[in-house]
Amino acid sequence: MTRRRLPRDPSAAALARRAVEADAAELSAAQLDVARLLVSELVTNAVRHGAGDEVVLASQVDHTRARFEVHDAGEQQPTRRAPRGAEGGYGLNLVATLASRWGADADVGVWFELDRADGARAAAIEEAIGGQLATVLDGLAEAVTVSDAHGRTVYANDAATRLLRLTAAEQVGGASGSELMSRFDVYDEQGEPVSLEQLPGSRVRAGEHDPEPLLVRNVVKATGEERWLLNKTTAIRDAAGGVTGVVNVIEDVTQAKRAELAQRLLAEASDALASSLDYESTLQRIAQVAVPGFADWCGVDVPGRGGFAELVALVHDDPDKVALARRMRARYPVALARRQGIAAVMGGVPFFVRSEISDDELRAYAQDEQHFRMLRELGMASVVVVPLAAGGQKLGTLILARATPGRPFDDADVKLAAELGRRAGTAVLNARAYTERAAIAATLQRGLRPPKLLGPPGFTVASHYDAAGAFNEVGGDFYDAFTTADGWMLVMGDVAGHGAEAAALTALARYTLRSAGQLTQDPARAVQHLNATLRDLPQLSLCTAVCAHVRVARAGGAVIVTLANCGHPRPLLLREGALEELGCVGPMAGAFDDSAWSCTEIALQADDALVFYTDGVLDTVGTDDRFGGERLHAALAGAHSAGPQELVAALADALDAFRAGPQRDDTAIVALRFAGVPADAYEAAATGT
Amino acid sequence: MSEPQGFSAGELFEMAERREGSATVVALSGELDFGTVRQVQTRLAELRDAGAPTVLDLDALTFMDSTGIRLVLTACEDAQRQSWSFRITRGSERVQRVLEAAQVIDRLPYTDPADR
Repeated sequence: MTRRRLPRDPSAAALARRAVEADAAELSAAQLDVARLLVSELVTNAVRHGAGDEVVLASQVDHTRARFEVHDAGEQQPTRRAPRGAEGGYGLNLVATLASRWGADADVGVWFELDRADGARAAAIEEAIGGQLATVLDGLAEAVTVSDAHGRTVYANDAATRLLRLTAAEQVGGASGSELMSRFDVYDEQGEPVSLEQLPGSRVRAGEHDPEPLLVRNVVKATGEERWLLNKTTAIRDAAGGVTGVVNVIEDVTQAKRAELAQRLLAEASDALASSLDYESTLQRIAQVAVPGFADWCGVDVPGRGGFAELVALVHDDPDKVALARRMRARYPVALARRQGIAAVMGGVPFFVRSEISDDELRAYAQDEQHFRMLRELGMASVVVVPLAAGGQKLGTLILARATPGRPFDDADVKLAAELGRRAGTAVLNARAYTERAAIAATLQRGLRPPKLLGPPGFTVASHYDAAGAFNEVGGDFYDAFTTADGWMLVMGDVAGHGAEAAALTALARYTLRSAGQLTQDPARAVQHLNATLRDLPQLSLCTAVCAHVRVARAGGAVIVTLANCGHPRPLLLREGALEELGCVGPMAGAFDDSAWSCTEIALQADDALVFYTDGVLDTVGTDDRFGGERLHAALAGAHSAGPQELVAALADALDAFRAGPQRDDTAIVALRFAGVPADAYEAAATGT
Repeated sequence: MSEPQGFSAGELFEMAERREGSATVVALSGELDFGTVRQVQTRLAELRDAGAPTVLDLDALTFMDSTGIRLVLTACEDAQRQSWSFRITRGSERVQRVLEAAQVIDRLPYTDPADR
């Protein structure tokens, strides 16, 4: 406490004011004015009504308040002098009105306090920005408004004036919340209408503390302009906590929100497009992504026959409208010679956009009154058409339309539509290429698919072939069987790779082995030929194969199987319930120029079975393991005495049961069972008679 | 305890007079308080007794407390009783704040009622 002793005479009030100015200098200008006035009042009272020679002024200022005490030298107890009469009382009335609290007691005299939390902050702001508050607020990008307890906007900075479309009269006279709301359509992020009562400002006035900021889509009714606005609110409260006003800060986040929506739309488009492999459904997916978030309906056209656009996909929220659009386009086809809309963009215009299409414009475009009515029913308030383009190739057009007025496509929307068109174009191109490749593969497959095998005399034969992938009916696995000068040859192989390229190599390998096998009747030399052929190809081409030649030995009449193997899984011999892997494995064909292969000969007995298979069998993937040799042996051992059909079926079933997830590799299985035949059957074959 | 140094009462207060038409304008400047009010009271009493139309000019006051309010209200009562023409200017900003806080601002005879 700072104490000042003042003479109890008429000069005391002025001296006391000087003391306040010195001792409470840290108060804001406004509070210092109040302190000076009230101290002046109390000292004047002490001089006029007190006793003694002195008046003592004590003061203390801290961060939260300033306290002042006045008493007159203690000769008599300071008494509270109540206001009385017309002539008096104004002094203490002022103290009661302007002080945060006041009182009188024997020890300290009459005292009052001024709370200064807000005052100090206000003073700091005042010091920093002087009288320029309005200028500062007008410089903000955010819209700031102050509304009173009834929701009437009593202040709006420049940004708010623009954002809320305040008239000149409203800038002066204010505007009610409902007046302002009537200018806009307001929706939340889910597209539900937002009422005035749901805005944070109204909620604060209704008694809510700290409502969450609210993000709304705000459409200016007059122009259709769309904005995303983040509404934040701070209440101004009186001492009792009642709301006396509301400060609203409205941030225009349209750019950020648009970017976010565009990203989401494009991401959805990419997901949808990546998951589709065929051309038609790709187009349908493009249309689905854009509706209804971005447009009310969407269509894809490609140049069609007879100089007309062909509508290949159309999505509308309302299925009746889809039917309507299709009927309309069937009846009123879009001639590519036209210079508007779809035809213009197919003709090379980078984009076509029309907003707020009037009935007159629509009628001018329509071919007759019926067409006009159909267009109108479909909804054509705003339209944007962009190319469906990829790599400089124009595949068609994407048309996006909003059915109701008030949401015109702006520049950002057109850019987004164009990007959608580019992505869709690429996806369409991919889908088209994939579809075409699949068609080529299917054609090849008809020529390449392993033939129905006819076994040599005395043998029964069965085969099983599974290509990996729905579109890859021809994989890298192949087998073939043909007669030779002195017998019969079975070839089975697997070229590296899958799809169309593998199919071409498959064909090469298969026919090379057939030709060489027929010419040489020697499995090792057939494989040698295959190696030379593959080595001649410009790119590294690898193939595993096993060749088995079946003939009757000249001496003794035994049936002999001669095997040569280039990197292929060894065939299995089932004899009397036992399993044996046959032959030796040489290097893979196509790997080295100087590879060499030798033959293994096996004399067959009656009831012997031979099983040939590709590595797709061993590599079939289960839940946490590959199928492998042991399971293969087990599957065959269980059916060791059955016919070849049952052997193949037992193995195929075991693979199906084991497999987890989609098939990854081609699998081929061929089984032969030797019944034992008259030796002369082979003699005949051998001599050509 | 310390004595306030270098302070002196009254030196910041001045009273001047001028004629405006038929009215005598008593113009106050500086700080009007219990220490300085007496000379104004004296002069207003003289003008009242002489029946001179009087305007009290408060526009240049840098401080006024309830002493000033009592001065003005007393003059107003005299004016009503004695058919004396007494009016005041609306006063400096600080004067207006005090009149407002004391809730008398709306019932004083201003020279320019249109401003109120």
